[in-house]
Amino acid sequence: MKFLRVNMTEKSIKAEDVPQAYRGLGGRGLTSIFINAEVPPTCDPLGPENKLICAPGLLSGTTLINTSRISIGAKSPLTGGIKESNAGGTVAAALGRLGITAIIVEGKAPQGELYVLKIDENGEAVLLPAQGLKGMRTYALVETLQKDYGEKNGILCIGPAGEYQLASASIQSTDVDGRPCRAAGRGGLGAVMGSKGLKALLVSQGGNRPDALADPEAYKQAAMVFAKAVKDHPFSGQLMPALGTSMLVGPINAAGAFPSFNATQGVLEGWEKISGEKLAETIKARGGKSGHMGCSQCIIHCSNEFVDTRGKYVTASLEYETIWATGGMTGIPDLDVIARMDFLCDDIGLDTMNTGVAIAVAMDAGYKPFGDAQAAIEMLEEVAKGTELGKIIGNGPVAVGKHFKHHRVPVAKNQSIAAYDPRAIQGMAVTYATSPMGADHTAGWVVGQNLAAFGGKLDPLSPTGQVEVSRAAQIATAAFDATGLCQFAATAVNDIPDAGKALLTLLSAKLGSTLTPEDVTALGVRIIRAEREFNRKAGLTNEADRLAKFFYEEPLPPHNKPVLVSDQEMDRTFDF
Amino acid sequence: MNVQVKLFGLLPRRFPGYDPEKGMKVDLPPEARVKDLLARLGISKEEGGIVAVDGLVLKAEAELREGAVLHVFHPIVGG
Repeated sequence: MKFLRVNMTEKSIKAEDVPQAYRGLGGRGLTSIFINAEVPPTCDPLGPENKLICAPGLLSGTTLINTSRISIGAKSPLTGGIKESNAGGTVAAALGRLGITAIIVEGKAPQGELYVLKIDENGEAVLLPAQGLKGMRTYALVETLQKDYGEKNGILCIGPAGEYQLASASIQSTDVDGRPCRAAGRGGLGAVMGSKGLKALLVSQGGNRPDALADPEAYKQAAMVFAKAVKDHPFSGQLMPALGTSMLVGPINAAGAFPSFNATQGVLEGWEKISGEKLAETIKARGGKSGHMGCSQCIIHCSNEFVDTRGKYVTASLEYETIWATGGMTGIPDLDVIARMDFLCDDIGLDTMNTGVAIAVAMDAGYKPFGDAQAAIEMLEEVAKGTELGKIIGNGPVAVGKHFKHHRVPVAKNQSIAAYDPRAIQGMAVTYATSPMGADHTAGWVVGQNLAAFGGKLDPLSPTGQVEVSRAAQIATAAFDATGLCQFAATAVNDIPDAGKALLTLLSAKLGSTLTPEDVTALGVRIIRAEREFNRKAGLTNEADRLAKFFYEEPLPPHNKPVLVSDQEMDRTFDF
Repeated sequence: MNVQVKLFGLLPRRFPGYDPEKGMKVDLPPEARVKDLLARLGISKEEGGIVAVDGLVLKAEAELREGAVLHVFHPIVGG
């Protein structure tokens, strides 16, 4: 249980016991409560006062399956509010096995200086000058770092977009194959890392000193029950390994909720060409990999490796949200182009969603026609080159809208929406608008309840009941994101009573307490309260809890509805 | 009543000889509802599913109409 405080101004590293105020917290719970306590809300997100905190989940580093989510937090240069973005890969498990509760990066190196932070198998950390890595893209970067320091390191790193401190810059995370293809994409945290002068963070995967469990035997038993439930559940046990997240392309188009051509249509003509079914078929025919393992200790295997017609690696893993942003929003229903764009975003260090939407806004504004694959790829290369246009694209949809004087910019708190149009699934309007993170589908995903045949009376096209559903989902998600568990394992927790009980036992056995479901809800509320408090002090009041205006004014075909959730309803979401 | 059903995800595997291009015809009693179709496909309430016609998702109690082309999906979970 220790914090590693890395001061980039002084180039000092200090290990300290986790202060009492943060005990029992992990993941998003820790990052958000920490930022609210230690970062001045009105500070420059790219200045020395901002802090970047990387925290594995409460259960990361234990034997439990699917616990390698790393939460990264800071004040966001994109939203101007608090940010937590979490990613899979290998770093969370590696930190947990070293007994490191969080790495906190403070201060700022003099302009032009670049460093790598390396943590060895004993938890000893050093800052290494890394001028030679300047400008390097992430695939070449991790190859160099693995050559220099060994392959058994989990890596968090930034590409050129992070060095340019662009608002869509991601922090890329290496998967189990050592590729930088997992991303803490949202909110421009790569820019914060770049502003500090930190190019990469290497963590040895050889650690063997995790925090002690309060009740190892109870933990072991519950971990077995939990793993069995995840394996037995048809979603996590069968569907995800077969099709991955791209299985959503079909149902969301069928519901008329797939924002296409910069959110002017709810169904993408030709969506069958980029569906999960088509992706799996293409990968199989070309000799790629489906059911691929992306993250440490994963038993779901939702990842894939996309290859070209000659069987050569293009990217991993092609995900639903990326397929939508780079293919649906741009009107390019072509898996080969989408895969190329996914690779480029990972390599340059960009959020695929914010960037795909930025390109779509440029196309909608008339800069290039929708469907122009070459233009889309060129726009990404402009970002890597750091040209004026590249910086506009890399700063996200709002920057593009301002540049081209175009009104249709699908965001909330400056962050792009995800692949569920809020006019066709009104519950997502509530989540996008009210999440302290800006438009974020992972903050409170209410798509399933809205679309399910046995989903009660919830009508996706009506605002009735959506606030309650979104509130419950956002609170539950905030608590879940504190554990380090993958959200795809949450299905079993929700559907299989034994798994839900096992999760409570796991948390109790880790912390040495007896937790109830109410305690978990209270944790979710505590996290959201801290996030909203920070945002208010940063100037993001209830008036910021709104979607871009056009969502209320321009109906989306085929249902031809605008967002119908009133401002008063939005403000009721967090009435605590 | 006859409806045309298109299956997605792993559902086609449950029906040997299923043609993904055309889907399959399902014969149901007059005034059948979505829940009747799901029952006929062997999809229980516990398993759940998503049924859509012409870009509109239907709840279990919705009535079907002759000749409709229905898309049937697994329940979805995401984030």
